[in-house]
Amino acid sequence: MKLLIVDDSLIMRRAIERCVSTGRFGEVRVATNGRLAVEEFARFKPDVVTMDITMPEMDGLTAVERILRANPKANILVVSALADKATAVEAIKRGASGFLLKPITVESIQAALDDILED
Amino acid sequence: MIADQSPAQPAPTRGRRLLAPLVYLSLALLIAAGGYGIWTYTRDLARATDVNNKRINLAGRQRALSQRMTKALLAYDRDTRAQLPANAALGELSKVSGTFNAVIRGFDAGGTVPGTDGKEFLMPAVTDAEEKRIVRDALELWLPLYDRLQEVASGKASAEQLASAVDMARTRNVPIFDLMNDLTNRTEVTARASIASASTPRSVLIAIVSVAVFLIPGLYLWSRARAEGRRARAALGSLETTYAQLSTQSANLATAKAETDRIMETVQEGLMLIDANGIIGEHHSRELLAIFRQDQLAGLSLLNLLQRLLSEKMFNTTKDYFGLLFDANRKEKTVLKVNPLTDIEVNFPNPAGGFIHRYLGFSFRRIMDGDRVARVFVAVRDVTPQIELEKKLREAEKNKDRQLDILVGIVHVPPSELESFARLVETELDTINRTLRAEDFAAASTGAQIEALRERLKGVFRSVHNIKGNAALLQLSYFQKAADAFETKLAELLDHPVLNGDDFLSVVVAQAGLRSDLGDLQDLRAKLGGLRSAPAAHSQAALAPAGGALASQLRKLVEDAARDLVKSTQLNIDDFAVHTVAADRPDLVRDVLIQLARNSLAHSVESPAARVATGKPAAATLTIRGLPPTADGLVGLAFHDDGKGLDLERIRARAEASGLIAPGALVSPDELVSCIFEPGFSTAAQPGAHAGRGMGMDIIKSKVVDEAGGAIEVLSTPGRFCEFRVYLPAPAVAIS
Repeated sequence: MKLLIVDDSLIMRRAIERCVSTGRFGEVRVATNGRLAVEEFARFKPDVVTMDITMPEMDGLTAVERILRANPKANILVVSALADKATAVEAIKRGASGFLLKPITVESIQAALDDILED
Repeated sequence: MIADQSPAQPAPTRGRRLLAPLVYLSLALLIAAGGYGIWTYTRDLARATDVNNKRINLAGRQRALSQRMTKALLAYDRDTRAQLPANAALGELSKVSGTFNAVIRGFDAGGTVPGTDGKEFLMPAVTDAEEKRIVRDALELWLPLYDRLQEVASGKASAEQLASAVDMARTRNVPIFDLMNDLTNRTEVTARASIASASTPRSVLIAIVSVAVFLIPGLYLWSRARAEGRRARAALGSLETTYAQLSTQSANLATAKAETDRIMETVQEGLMLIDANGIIGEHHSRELLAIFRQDQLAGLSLLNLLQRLLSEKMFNTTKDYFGLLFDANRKEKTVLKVNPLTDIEVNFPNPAGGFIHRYLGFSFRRIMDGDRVARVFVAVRDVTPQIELEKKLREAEKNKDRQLDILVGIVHVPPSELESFARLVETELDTINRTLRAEDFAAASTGAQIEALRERLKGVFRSVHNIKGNAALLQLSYFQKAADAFETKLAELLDHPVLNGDDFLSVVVAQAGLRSDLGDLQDLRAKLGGLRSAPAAHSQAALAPAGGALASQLRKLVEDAARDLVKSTQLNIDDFAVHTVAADRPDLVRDVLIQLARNSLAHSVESPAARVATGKPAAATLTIRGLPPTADGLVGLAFHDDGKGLDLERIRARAEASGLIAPGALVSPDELVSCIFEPGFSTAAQPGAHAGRGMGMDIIKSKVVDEAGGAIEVLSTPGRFCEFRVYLPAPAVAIS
C-alpha cells in the first residue's frame, strides 16, 4: 500500500512516518503543502493520505476537496492541531474519511488508519 | 413478529380432486346412454304401436271381410239362379276371399299382407298362445271354405259345387266371424301388453336420466357448497388463529409499550428519535423535557431548539453535523467520532432574568432502513455536575501548583521578612481597595473626573509596583509574576482614553486574586512557622539587624535583576548607614532602595559589552552609602551607579510626547530630571519585569516626599554615573 504524508512541518512528517513504519505501507511519499499534495496525489495514487490543515499556499481542507473532486474514492485522514470541534466536523463535511488530533501517537494513528482502511 | 398468516386450510387430496370430474363424466355417459336408450325404446314403442294398430285393424277388417265374402257368394248364387249377370259379385268374392286368406295366413306364419290403408304390410306371425289357437281354429274352418270359394270364383263351378259352397259358407260364416272378433279383441289385449312392456324400461330410463340430469348441477352445487363451507370454516379458523396471534401480539405490544413508557418516564437521560429534518419523534423520555426546560417537545425541531441555546458558530457546526449523521454515504463510526456536542455549554433564559448555564452531552446512533438513515437516536444528558467537577479539579490542581509555587518561593525567606512582606501586601491591597471603593468611580463623564480616575489608577499602580519590587527583593517569583500581570492590566487601562466603571472590574478581580494569594501566603507561613522551631524563628526575627538583612536581600535582588537583564554588577552597601536610616521605617527604606536598584539596572547600567567599549569595567559598581545629616536634620542615603546616567535627550523626548513639557520649550536639566518622578513616566522601550512601566520613580517620590516628608536629589553625568540622594527626617531611635 502507498501512503502520502502532507504536512509543512518536517518534524510532523517524520513523526507520522515513524508511527506508520510497521510494514503496512510499501511506499511513502510526502508533500509540504496543499497544492503539492493535489499534484502528488495525481501522480502517486496513494491508498491513504494524511493531511495537515494549516499549511502555506493551499490549506489542507481545500486540498481534501480538490483531491476528492478528481478521486471520489480517496481515503484522506485529516491530522490537525486545531482542537476545535467545528474543524473536525468541517473536515468530515468536506469529505475526509477521518479526523485525528495532534499530538499523534503510534496507537492513535494506527487506529485511525485501521478505521479508514477497514472497508 | 407477525407469524405466517396463511390459513391452516386442509388441502384436498389428489384422489378427491380427481373424483369430482370422474363422477361428472360417469353421469354424462349415463345420461348419454340413457338418452340413447330412451330414444331406442321410444322408436321401438312407436313401431310396435304401429304394428299392433295395423294388426288390430287387420283383425277387425277380417270380421267385415268374412261377412262381405258370404254376402258376395249369396249374391252370386241368387243372380246365377235368376240368370242375371253375376260378374260383379264374382269379382267381389274373388278379391275379398283373397285378401282374407292372405291376412289370416299372415297372422299364422307372418308375411306381406295388403294393409287397411291399401299399402303392403309385413305382418309378424302371432306369438301369443291364445291368438295362435284362434288363428288355428279359424284356419281349420277357413281353408276348406276357401277351396270351395276358389272354385266358385273361377266361374266354372257347377251348380252342386256352388250349392256346397253356399252351404259351407252359411255354416262357417258365423264361427269365422266370431273367431275374427276374438282375434281382434285378443290382439287389442296383447298390443296393450306389448306397449306396456316396451314403455316400462323406457320410463325407468327416463327416470334414471332425469335423476342423472338433475344430479349434475345438484352434485356441482353440493360440492360447491361443501367447498365453500370448507373454505369458510378454514377462513374462520385462520381468522381465529390470526385473531389469537394479534391478541397475543397486541398484549405483547401493550406490555412492551408499558415497559418502554416506564423506561421513558424514569430514565435519567433525554432519549429521542429525530428524523432527517431534526424533528423530535412522538416518544421521548420525560427527562428530555426537564433537560430542555420545555413542556412539550414531540414534533419540534431539535435544531431550532439548539439554535436558541448555542452560539452561532456552534449552531452552524451542529447543523453540518446533523447533515453528516443523515448522510448514509458517510461512515457512522467516522461521523460519531467527530461529535461536536459531547459537552456543549448552553444558556437557557432564566425566567428570573439572565441566563442559566448548563453543559449538555449528546450522543447519537443511526437507525437504518435499508440503505437509508431513517432516524437518528439521540441521548442527551445534563453533564453540568461532571463538567463543573472537572473544572473544580483543574482549579484545585492549579491552586495546588500555585500553593506549591508560593511555598517553594517562601521557604528560603526568613519568617520576619515574610511577615513584613505580607504586611506590606496587605497594606497595599487595603490602599487599592480604598481607592477602588471611592464613590466617584461609578460614573465619570467630565474630563476632570476621568483625570481623577486616572490619578487613582496610578495610585493603584504604585501599590502594585511596590508589591512587585518587594516580591523581587525576597525572590517571591510567584508574587512578582502576579503583580506583573496586574500591572499589565493597569497599564492597558491607563492607555484607555475614556475610563468607566466596567474598566475597573478587571482591577477588582486582579486585586481579589492577589488577596487570595496573600491568604495562601499567610496560611503557608503559619504552617511553615509550625515546622520551624518557634524559638529559632523568634530569635531570628528579634536579632536580625534590619540593615544587614536588607543589604543581603538587595544584593540578591540586584544579582537576579542583573542576570535577567544580562548585565554584570557589584553592589557595595554601607550596612550601618542603611541600618541607621531604616531604623524606624524599614519598609519605606526597603521600598525606596528596591526601586532605585531596579531603576538603575534597567536604565543606567549598560550591557557589559557597551561598558567595555567605553573603557569601563564590564561589571558596573552600585554603591549605597550614608550621607551626612543636613542642617535641617534630615538623614540620607545615596544610591550611586557608574552607568550611563540619565539620558536627558530621551527624557525630553518622552516628556514632550506625554505633554509634560511643550515641544522645543527651553527647560533646565533639573526641570527635565524632575519629569522622571511623574507617574507613568518611563524611557524604557519595552516594559519588563524589572522596569519600564514608569512607576518606580513615582513610588520613590510618593514615599520619600509625600509620605515621609523627605527630599530627593538627583546627580548625573551622562555616560559616567547616576546618583540618587534620598533624605528622610532623622529616625526617632537615632535621636534618642
